[in-house]
Amino acid sequence: MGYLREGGWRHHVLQHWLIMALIVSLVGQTVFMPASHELFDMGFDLAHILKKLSYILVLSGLLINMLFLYRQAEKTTQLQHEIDERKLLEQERARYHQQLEKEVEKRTADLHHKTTELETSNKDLEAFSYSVSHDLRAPLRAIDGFISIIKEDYGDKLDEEGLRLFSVVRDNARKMGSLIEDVLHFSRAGRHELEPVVINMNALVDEVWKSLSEQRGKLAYQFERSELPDYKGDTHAIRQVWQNLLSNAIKFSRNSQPPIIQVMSKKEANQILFLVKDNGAGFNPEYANKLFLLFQRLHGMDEFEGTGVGLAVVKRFIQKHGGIVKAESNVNQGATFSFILPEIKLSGES
Amino acid sequence: MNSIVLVNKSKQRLIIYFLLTVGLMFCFFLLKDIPWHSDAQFHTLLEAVATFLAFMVGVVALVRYYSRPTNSFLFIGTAFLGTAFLDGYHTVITSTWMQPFAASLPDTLIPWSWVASRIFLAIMLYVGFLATQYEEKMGEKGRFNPQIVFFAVASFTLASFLFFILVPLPQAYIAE
Repeated sequence: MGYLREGGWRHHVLQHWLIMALIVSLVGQTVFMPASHELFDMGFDLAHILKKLSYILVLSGLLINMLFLYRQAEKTTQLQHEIDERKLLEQERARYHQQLEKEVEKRTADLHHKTTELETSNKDLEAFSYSVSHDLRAPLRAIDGFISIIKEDYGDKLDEEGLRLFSVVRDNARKMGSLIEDVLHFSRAGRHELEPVVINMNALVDEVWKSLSEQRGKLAYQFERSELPDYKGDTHAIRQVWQNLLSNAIKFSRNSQPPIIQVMSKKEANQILFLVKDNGAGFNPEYANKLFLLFQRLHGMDEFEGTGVGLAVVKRFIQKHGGIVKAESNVNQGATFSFILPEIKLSGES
Repeated sequence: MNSIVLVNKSKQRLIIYFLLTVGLMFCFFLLKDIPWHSDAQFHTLLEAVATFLAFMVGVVALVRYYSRPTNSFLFIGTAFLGTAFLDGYHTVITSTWMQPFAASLPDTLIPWSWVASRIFLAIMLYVGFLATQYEEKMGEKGRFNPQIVFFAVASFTLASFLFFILVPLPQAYIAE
């Protein structure tokens, strides 16, 4: 009876039937057969029938056991089939993955090649524009200088119209000089090597705002700055960014009553958004994309002065920090210039 | 959870064995006084069925053994094949056609040749039980070589057969 206490009753199913056969056989042999008094009487035949019954019980046990075995084999086959299918799928996936990797490698190599080409041509272009701008400054200075000499030495020999024309030439030469300065400035921005340090943005913005007091003149600007987080970046570049954005805001809001400029920031997932908002002239949002291109201007020179280089410089510096720039506005409803910088862990921050 | 199911199953089985024994005893007391009397042909028919059944059990057990070998199925298979042989002998020797050629009277021959297969089967199943225990203890090393078992069982079958043929047997039914 040990098997009754131990586990796995299905494994002992045959024993169960064997025990029943044994009981039947024992009863037949010990009770029915001794009750037989002669051949072929009731006890004799019943004992014979019980013998057959015991055989049938053993046969049943065997067949049930084989049925279990068959089902088990069926399950194993099914499981094997599923495993084979899964293996095939995995092989297919691995092959596809390999193909994809090869494709990515090829594309990366292509991209790398194109990037290198582009970088080389960009450098060439920058070097070219730098040298051209640099070389153009000397003759412009000469023009400016000689016109000053002419006005000083021969001013009395020239009539009013002559003096006016020389003034126009000098003004245009100075404008051209200013344009060249800006181009040089833009070119330097591209060549500038970043030296990241932790920047106190609050102090930097306040300092820049203070330095722009001359541009503000006597106008009472309402300047609002919220608390800005520190940022790890190149001080020169970030200062230039703030300077250009605040300078723009001052310029385009000078006709508002009162001119209001707001500086804000917002921390998002792994990035920081900085905003400069004004209540100035604004611009047509259709042209927002053109704003950050070199020499692109949305206002006439007689309305607002400038060369159209400032925002291009901003874009270049922000891109060098791995960020993006955006501008949103509507005509006469002020403008919001923003830049998003990737958050870089400052030393000491966990 | 499994152990609870197992205990329930064990209890169920004990109840089945008990009911089977009680049922058989009840049948015995119910049927023992019925004035039934068959004849040698009916006995031959019953024994032919028994031979066929024993043969079937032997074949099925050996098929099962060759699909997944264990000592228990090897011994059950060979034991029932031997039993089928002895039952077959019992069927033939006790049939009405063989009575003119039999050395003993049916009163002696029928009970003793019936007992031959019973004893043979009981001994073989007991040996099979021991072999199963041995295999459980030893693992695959405890598995018997089927050829040796076949030979041993065939020899034992023949010995049983010869014993009941050659040894003079006493009368099975004693007149009251």
